[in-house]
Amino acid sequence: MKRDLIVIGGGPGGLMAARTAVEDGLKVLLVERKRNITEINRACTRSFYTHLLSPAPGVDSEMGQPYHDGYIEPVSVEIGPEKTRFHFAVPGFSIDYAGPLRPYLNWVSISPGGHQILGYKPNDRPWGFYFDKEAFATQLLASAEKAGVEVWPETTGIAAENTRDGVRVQVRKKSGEETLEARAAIAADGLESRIVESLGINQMRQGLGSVQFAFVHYVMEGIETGLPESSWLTWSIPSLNPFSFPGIGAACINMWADNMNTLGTLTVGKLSPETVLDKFMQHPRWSAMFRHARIVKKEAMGMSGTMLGPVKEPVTGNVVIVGDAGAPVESWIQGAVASGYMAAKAVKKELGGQKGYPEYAAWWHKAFYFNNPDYLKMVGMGFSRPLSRLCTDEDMDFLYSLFQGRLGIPEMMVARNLRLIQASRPELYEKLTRS
Amino acid sequence: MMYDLIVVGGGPGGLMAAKKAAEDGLKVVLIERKKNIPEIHRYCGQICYLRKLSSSKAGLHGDGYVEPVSVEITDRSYRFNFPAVGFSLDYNGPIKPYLNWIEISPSGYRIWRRRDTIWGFFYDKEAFLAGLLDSAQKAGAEILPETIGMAAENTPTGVKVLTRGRKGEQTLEARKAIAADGVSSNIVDSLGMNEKRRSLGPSAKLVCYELEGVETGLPPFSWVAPCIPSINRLMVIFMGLAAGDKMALGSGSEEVLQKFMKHPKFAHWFRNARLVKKVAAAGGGKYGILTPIREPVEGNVVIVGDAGAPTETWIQGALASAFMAVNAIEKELDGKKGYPEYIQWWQKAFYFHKPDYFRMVIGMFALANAWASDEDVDYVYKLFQDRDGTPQNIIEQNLELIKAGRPELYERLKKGYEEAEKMMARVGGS
Repeated sequence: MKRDLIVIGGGPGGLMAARTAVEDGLKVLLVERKRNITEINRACTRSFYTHLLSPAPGVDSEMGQPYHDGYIEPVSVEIGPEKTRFHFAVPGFSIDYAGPLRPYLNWVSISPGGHQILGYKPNDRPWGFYFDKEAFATQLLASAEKAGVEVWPETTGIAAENTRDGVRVQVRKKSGEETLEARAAIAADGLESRIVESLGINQMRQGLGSVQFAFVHYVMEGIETGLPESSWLTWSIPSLNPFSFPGIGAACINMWADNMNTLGTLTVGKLSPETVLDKFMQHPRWSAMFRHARIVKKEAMGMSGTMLGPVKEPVTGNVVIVGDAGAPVESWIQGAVASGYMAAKAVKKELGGQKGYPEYAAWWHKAFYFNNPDYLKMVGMGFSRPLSRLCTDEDMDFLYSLFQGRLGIPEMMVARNLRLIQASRPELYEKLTRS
Repeated sequence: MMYDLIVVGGGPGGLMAAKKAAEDGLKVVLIERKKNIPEIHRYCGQICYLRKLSSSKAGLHGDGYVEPVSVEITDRSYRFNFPAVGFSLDYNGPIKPYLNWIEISPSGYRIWRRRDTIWGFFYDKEAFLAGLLDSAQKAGAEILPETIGMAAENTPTGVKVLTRGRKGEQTLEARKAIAADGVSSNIVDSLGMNEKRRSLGPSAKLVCYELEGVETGLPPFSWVAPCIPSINRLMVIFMGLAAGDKMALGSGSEEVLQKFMKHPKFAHWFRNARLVKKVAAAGGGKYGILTPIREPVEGNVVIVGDAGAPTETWIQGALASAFMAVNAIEKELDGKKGYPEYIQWWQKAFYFHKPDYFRMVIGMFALANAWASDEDVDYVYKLFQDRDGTPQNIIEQNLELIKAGRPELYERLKKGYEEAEKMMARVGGS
């Protein structure tokens, strides 16, 4: 019997799509490259963000708001006595999760010498959570399999081709290549999706410039920051890493399970992330944080090539695109999950003779910040990043000292207070305004 | 003028009752002693507990409302969900998670009752009550501040409540009343309901300092419970979260707090600390700590929250019982039976009705009595250092380990637990 749906990719988007479809009565196959599907080797902060749309309470909206590029529909986290539930208000569904959960209560941007600018009012309310993505995916996979999804690990989706009444998906297994047929397919195979590429969709995506970046983080035990706890901490230190990506900075310390943390950096070009992290751990001002620290695990990710804008339409024939496969950047775990759910619902409608794809496309355009024209402006700002590229460490300390302890986004604060800078540091003002 | 419902008391239970009754269309009046109703003068942990601490294994705070409660964190606000009872309340003030619960010995050895897991949230009770009051008023509840409920008397058709306000005494009449006037409830007393309750002991005082600038060096968002027999044998010392970046340090007397803050091992916590506010509270009422009311209904009067309890019902227990009480009253006003269901629920929803509760209280005292010195506590806590669990239970389950190194301490502990069992048999048997 012909399958109704093939899902390519077993990340959060693919797993959610497969589970939703099978619960709606479809016959579903999920293929995934990895052997242990839910094992994660790529660097990911494992965050679930609850504060997305509005500036944090107390933040002057003129001063901007913490960086966001992913899924902007409202979500909530319900913490109960036995389990946690992630609620997705707009598509209208919930997922259970049992595992570690650590709230983020602070966001601190730090200059080389230690001046701090705060993204949120300190210790006021959680704006997001660390959670164990592997445990989450494992629980999702278990419920998908229990509901009847057929799962093929160690199977890579190579290409898809629309046919008159369905789709052919070419896969590579250990035993060789094979062509599978189904009435519809969902491409959930992530950034640099082979399925998206094979359908020729990438030719229609806007080039956002050539990039070569690498992100590495160490999972570490025993970091003692002496800075506000339960924080997302980012440092802007141009001498270590002139490319200070929004939300990451030259280096960042985030939370992890079991009271551990991650120390991460994103570098552009040839600069090695490991070198930046090693230098940071030996930085005279900051090395004390690592006196008793030990690296437990290293995770990396990266990309080299042309950064592509979002797919214009997330449906081609009988293939529906979800999550990072259609995005220029991370759609976030919550974006992948939501689009997996929405895509499965759309497929179900279409297979039942109704229109489901137009609704999915409309939702896709609205639900992700990267589909908003403002996003390109932000990318422009992020990639040229005048502050970290134009400033010395000493400049950075001066700028941060102006806003020490205040709530806001450093770049926005500087941009809005150029006159203040002009008065005391004309040469720095020149540098900043020339860009 | 005849009301459908008089609510006596404007704490979480009373406000919840007035809000729900008004929203459901009853003609309701709420009376409260205070002028500014949401203002809090008593110490309160201001915690929404997530964990169902429903067995003695959970220890000290297993005494409140045992039905599940969840906290939902959204983009803009918070929602407290009561799935067992079937309602939710929105709140939009500050909120801080409790991640740890650390029991600590005089030299700093730790046992973790909770570790790196969200077991509750600190929230701003004043902001929360202000929200409840606002919705009660918007729904049409009449609010009489600076009015004390003195006594209630059942009549053939309803209830009369004697009140004392700024203008003197006045009698209000209604078809039903809810007593939500807390631990030393006048209403409960006036109805003779305390006569059936037995004493569990004298009231305990509680004093609490709100401090700024405390530096414990312990993980943040922790409830910290130091056990220091040389300072305070029976009453616990605790430190929890308070509004802003403050901490709340509490115990039985100011003397204890002062000694603790000067203790050589703990004084450095308070090096840069500043006392912001001093608040007091009491465990138990004017008759001491009384056993719970088994049947919280007397004629046309329904009891909610602490008014019928030996100990804190917790904010969430007050809210849930108010919701259930109004449901019961609405049924009764409708000519249906509502009280039996409420009584049954009341007996099930609170931990203090269970024999385990007494076992826990007695066990705590047994253990406290066994400590001869600070060194005893250090020895035992060091033995079980960094374990997860409740000291009472870890010690009880590992008495033999203590026997080897500290035979006399072992004897004292053993005797303490045996005494506890005997007392349990007496309490449980009556």
